[in-house]
This record gives sequence, C-alpha cells and structure tokens, in this order.
Amino acid sequence: MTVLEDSVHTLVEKYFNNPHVLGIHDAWKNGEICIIIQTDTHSNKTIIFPKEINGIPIIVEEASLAEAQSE
Amino acid sequence: MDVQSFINGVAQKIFNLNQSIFEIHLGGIRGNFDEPAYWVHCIFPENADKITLLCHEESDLKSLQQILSKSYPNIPIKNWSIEYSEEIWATQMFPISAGSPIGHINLIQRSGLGTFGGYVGHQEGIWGISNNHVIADNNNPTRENDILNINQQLIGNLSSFQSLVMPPIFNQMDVALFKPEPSRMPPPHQNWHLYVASDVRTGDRVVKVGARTGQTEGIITSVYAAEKVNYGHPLGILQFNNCLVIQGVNGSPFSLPGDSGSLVYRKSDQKLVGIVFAGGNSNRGTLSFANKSDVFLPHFGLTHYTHFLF
Repeated sequence: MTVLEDSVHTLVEKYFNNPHVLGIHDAWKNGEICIIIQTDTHSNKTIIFPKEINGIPIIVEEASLAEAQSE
Repeated sequence: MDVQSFINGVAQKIFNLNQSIFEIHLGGIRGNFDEPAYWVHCIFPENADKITLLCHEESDLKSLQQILSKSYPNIPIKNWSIEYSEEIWATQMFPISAGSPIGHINLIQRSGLGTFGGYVGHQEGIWGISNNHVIADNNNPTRENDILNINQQLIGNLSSFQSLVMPPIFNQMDVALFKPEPSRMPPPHQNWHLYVASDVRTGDRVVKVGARTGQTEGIITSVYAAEKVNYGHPLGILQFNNCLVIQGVNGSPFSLPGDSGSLVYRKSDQKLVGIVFAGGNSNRGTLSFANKSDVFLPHFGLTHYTHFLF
C-alpha cells in the first residue's frame, strides 16, 4: 500500500462514519498530490480536519451526495 | 481464388442483390476467441438489425448458391476454388451495441434504464456486463430475471451479480452479468481484447459510451476514492472504496443518470479501466464514479472484453 493509499485509508477510517462526510479521495491540485474530503454544505465549517497527513495536503470541498446512475 | 477474394466477391454480390444494405464487414474470427470462421456481415439501415453469413468447413454451398445464383448465373459453384467452404448457413443476429439502454425487467417497468457496458468473457462463455442496480434490481432479482432493452425486448437473463452490502461494510463493485440470448451474442467480427491490468493513474484520459450521454471523454482525477452513494429505497446510502473518480473534459459531464454500466477505457491504449456506477457534484463540477476493472474482472473470472470502438 502506498503512502497516498494508506493516508486515504486512515482518513476514511477516522471520518467516514460522520454522516456529513460524503467522500474522501486522492487528487492533483496545483501540480501536487493532495487528499480531498467532501462534505455536505452544512458541515465543512463545523468539522475540524487536519491540514495534512503524512505530508500530503488535505483539502475540504463541498459536494452533493453521489447517486447511483440509473434513471 | 483466395479466401479474402472469395469473401469480397460474396459481399459485393449480396450488396448488389439488396440495395438496402449499406454496410458490409469482411473477415474475422467468431466464437469463443479461437473458433475460426469466415463471414460476411451486413447491416440493414431500417432498423440496424444484422444478418451474418458464416462459412464453415463441414457442409455444402447450397444456401449460398441460392443467394448468389442471380448474380453468378454462369459460374457453377463447384468451379470456385474454395478449400474451406463445405458449409454455409445464415444466422440472423441482433447484437447489442455497447452503450445501449437496458435494464432488469423490474427497472424497465418502472421506466428506468441503465447502460449495456459490452461483452465480456473467458474461454468457456460470453456475458453482457452492467451494474447490479441496472440488471439485478439492487440485489432484488425477482420474477424471471429477464434483461430487456428499451423496447422491452428480451436480450438475456441475469447470470450473476455481486451483492451490494450495507454500511459499515464497504462495497468495491456494483457489477452484474447477464447471459445474452443466442441471437444477441456479439457479432462475428467482434475483436476480443485480452485483459491486462491497466495500471490506471490520475491524469489518464478515458472514454465511455453511455445510454444517456453517448460517447464522452474524461480525465481520471482519483484512483483511491471512498464515496457514499445514494441507492434510494430500499438500500439507502451505501459505502464504496477503491473507486475511480472521473471528470468530463471541457466542462461536460463524463456521465449522467442512465449511463450506469458504461465501461470506461483508457484513451491511450484502449485498456478497460472501469465501469461507471454513480455520479455527483462538487465545487469542481460533475464527478463520475467507477469501479476498477482489476477488481471486478478477476472477481468474475473474466479474461476478455470488447471495446465499443472496435
């Protein structure tokens, strides 16, 4: 398991049971690897997330709950 | 006359006999990857249905002679130099195009639909692939498990699926397989791709064809995604991990509702990398979520796949 994968895994274990956290995944931003934590619109100011993990920056963004894509 | 010349001649004569044919494909391999057969493949414009003529080694040329007697009146069939053509038969085929709208009978009768991803298989069989929530009705394969197209025609029957599980357990795939009706098997000229782990990375360009948005292009933005996904009643919100996140290019969504089941291919080498199952929105725009091919293909023992461009 890479450091990135392990970091995502650690954050998932710590925060995914919070109903306001909708997704956690790796991403590239401004030319560097980061981890994005998706939250609903009501929570990103009330939940305090670390700014980095294992040296990888953490970015919090607002998102909607994903939906299965049949219609 | 060599084989290819013979087939070219047959195709040309069939074309001349039936002006409604607008496209003919030549040559190829049919069957479970290694069963050789020469073929002439004709597509009719009215309904895109297809007729296939297969030339095998075992019988005579009577059927073909009947078809071609009008255009080859002066050339006895026995004079043709055809070493292999001891059997000719005609099979009417209606293969399913990747990206076609399909669904479990329950979903279709609720006016729902998803996408036929494509044909997948191994040495002993060929299946159609899509999502559990498209062709297994969210773990609820009641009735006769008929898989229908948008015209409510039977195209196959549910074969197997990976159950969707409730939190706190994480899902890694929303995938199911169906056995196509014999007339819905892949066309004889279908090229099969041997699956090799795709080593997908962020930044990879990918393509898919879906029932809602058609062919679109996207960029992999994440390869280790955990996501909560709303499956509605009765499953509710399910958890997934080890997923891909894909964003469409030029501000267009990579997928929308109805595209579930679309197979995702890396643009640079045509390798299968995933299957679309969900979507959502964030500050960055519309996001699509896909299960990884190196998770679901080995799970079902699949070794080969088709590509909608080939």
